[in-house]
Amino acid sequence: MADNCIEIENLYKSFGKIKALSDINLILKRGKTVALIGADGSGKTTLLRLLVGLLYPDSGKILTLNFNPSKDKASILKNTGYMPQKFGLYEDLTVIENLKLYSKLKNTDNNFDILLEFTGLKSFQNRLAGNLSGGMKQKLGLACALLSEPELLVLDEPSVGVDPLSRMELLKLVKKMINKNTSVIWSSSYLDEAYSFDSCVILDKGKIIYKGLTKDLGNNYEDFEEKVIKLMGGFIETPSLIAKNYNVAEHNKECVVLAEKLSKKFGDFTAVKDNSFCIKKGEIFGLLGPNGAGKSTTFQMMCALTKPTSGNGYIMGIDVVENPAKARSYLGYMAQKFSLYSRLTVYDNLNFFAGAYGLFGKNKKEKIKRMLDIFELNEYKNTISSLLPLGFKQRLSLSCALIHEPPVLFLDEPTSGVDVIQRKEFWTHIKALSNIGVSILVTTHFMEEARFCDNISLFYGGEIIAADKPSEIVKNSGTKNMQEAFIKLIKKARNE
Amino acid sequence: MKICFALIQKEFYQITRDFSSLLIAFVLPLMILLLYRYGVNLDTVKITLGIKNDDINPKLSTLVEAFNKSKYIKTEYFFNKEEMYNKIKNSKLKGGIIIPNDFISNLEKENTAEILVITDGSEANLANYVSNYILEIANNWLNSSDFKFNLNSPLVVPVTRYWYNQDINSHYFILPGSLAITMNMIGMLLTALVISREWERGTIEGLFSTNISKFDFVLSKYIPYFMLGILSFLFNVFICIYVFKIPFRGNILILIFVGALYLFCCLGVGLTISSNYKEQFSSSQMALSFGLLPALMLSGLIYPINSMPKIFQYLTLILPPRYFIIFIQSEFMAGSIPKIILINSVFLFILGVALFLLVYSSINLRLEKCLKK
Repeated sequence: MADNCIEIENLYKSFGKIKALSDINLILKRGKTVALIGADGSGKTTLLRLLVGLLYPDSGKILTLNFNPSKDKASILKNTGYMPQKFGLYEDLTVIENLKLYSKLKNTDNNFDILLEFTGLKSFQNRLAGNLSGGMKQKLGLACALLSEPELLVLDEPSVGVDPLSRMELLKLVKKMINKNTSVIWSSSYLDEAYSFDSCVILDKGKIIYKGLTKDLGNNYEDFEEKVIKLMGGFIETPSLIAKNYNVAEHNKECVVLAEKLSKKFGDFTAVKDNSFCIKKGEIFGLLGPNGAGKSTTFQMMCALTKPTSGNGYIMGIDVVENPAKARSYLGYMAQKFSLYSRLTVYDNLNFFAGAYGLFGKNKKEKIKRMLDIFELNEYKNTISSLLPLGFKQRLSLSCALIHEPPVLFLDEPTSGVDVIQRKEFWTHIKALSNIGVSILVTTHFMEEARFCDNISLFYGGEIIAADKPSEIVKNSGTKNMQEAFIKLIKKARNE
Repeated sequence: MKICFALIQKEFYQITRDFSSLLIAFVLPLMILLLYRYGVNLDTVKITLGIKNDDINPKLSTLVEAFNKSKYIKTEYFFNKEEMYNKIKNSKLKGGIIIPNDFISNLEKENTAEILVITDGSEANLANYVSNYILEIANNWLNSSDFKFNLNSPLVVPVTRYWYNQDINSHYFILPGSLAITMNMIGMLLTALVISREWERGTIEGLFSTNISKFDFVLSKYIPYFMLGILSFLFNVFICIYVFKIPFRGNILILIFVGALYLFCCLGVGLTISSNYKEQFSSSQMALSFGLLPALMLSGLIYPINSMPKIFQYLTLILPPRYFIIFIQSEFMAGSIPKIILINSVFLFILGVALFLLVYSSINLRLEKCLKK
């Protein structure tokens, strides 16, 4: 048995004009855990799909478990557990039906009981997969990948959009379920996850910019992060142009965004219970919590997209239930993922959103120009937005949310799936906005972003379990950082 | 085989949980049948006719009476020409006649008597009916009137018998024919979505990373929807025969057999579409434009194939509904005719197999196509 699990030589792959991967050379040993790091669009998914034979290479040689994936896909898949990005689950099948289906497809007679036990899905086995929370879907996806007791486990961004506690549990689960001969390849945009692996491969624009032991990059996480950022081209903080060009309407409201005992019930299920908060002028307010804690529901109630069962919300003093249209006019909203019109150009998108917010004529043209200037989008003005580099897509999303210069900005997991550098750049804009007096409500699963917030409200099961300044929350919980504080507090709430 | 069975079971779970498949299989055809039964009518219809009689000769009263008595005509009398014209212009009347004041005197002088018939040429079909009705009534009247001796007896008198459909009730051939279109839609809509859905939801990546073979995959898409389609077909036939009382003179087993062949073709078209599009939206668009429109326009159900331009006539050769419509109409109205059954089954079978091969070849168990941007 050869001791290499993956051998790649001079691999190239492109889709039309887009070069997805070029000149990849890589050897991975058996029995190791490997993190594949890189931004969205850096080629991680393409590389993983090539390894299991879901794609053909343009040129170059690949050996996975000593088989050529282009010719011998079946032999590789027999000994490989592959978990695709959307987990590949049938949402209209129950947990147990999904497992049974995949075990038949993989020709195994594995005992599900152990897997269900380990993943904690036993009591949910008759629930439809579509009704599981993100964390549970992820575990079910993993269980399906583990069915055949694979030699090689390939996981494609298993932790995108999942809260820190579920991420930690998944990582533990993987390490528990494998033996010392199992190789794991795990792609991720979370550096803390990557740091816990044996070795790492960093991809940038389709090229490998680092391969080697994780420990070689730093003896602690901070060093590691700094090194990775440096490898990816470094990050130099340049002041955002927002301050100069953005005019927030003057006001003297005490609470720009005010929630008063917001509650939402779906049938018997209470999604949000008595949620109250007040966001002041220029404050960044973070809503944190595991998946399914009620963050999105709170968001939707504050945007007047769903009606609260009881309680009320106010934006700039306007009642969101009674006067939703007026309340929304003070609001900029950036949704999870890229929710712009991907076939329109940058300019057309801005133009559309400006129109949708009621701007017209000269004023509209001026505002569009201002946004193009602030976010340095002039160069891409006529580019179809789906072809933009990821960082620019994000700038465009933000500029569309800000086109009417609202005094309030809502951000729903704005940095999900985005690499470290782009995340940092994004936050310079957010901080600049807060400095000129825009009030911001944000949700995130990145705990290092939480420290940019002035105040945080930690959610569990629809209720607030902690609300304070980030530093105070960390101090009061007796932990070192926000991540640990989060995990400790959520665990405590769960056990109560 | 075990894998294929697991996949088929999965499809059935999805069918029973997704209400829309059942909607397509049973509610949609019912609505189409109702439409064809009560909405589409190619038969003679009752018309409203204006009459202005300028001849006060009492001998004419029997002619006016004859118009009145006809079960296809509702008459309305006018004394003012303009008033009648206006009503025709406003489509209140489908036609009008003016009997001149010398009508009877002309007949008595053994001259040709004229009546003016006005019809609405913008509805050509209807205009034809109107003038035919009037001509027929007038001739009948003439035959039984005192002026009979004026007529030369015609040399040839056709005696018409309508075979297979004595009452020339168009529903007897439209409804069975519409079954072909319904089945065509169902077969395509059901399957056009199933592969694109897996692409859209990302489940295809999970599937392709297991041990499934292409054959498993293709069969698992054909078999469940074939079974659902056959159920839907039986349901439709039942409605036609027992609810709408369409006479059925053929053999039910032969009907099911050829129906199954036809369904096999339709599923093939749907799956070909589905395996080439990654979005359910584009698939359903394609299914509607390739499923419904040609079946409606080019299958020979409404417009006879023989009167189409040559190029379209050739085009119909590859349309499954064409063969099935010929078969099902003759099976319902004329009974089982071996030659018709055989020829159409053979063509359907060839088309079905060709489509199956097309589906099989357009699926590959890799993700290559999905990443095209």
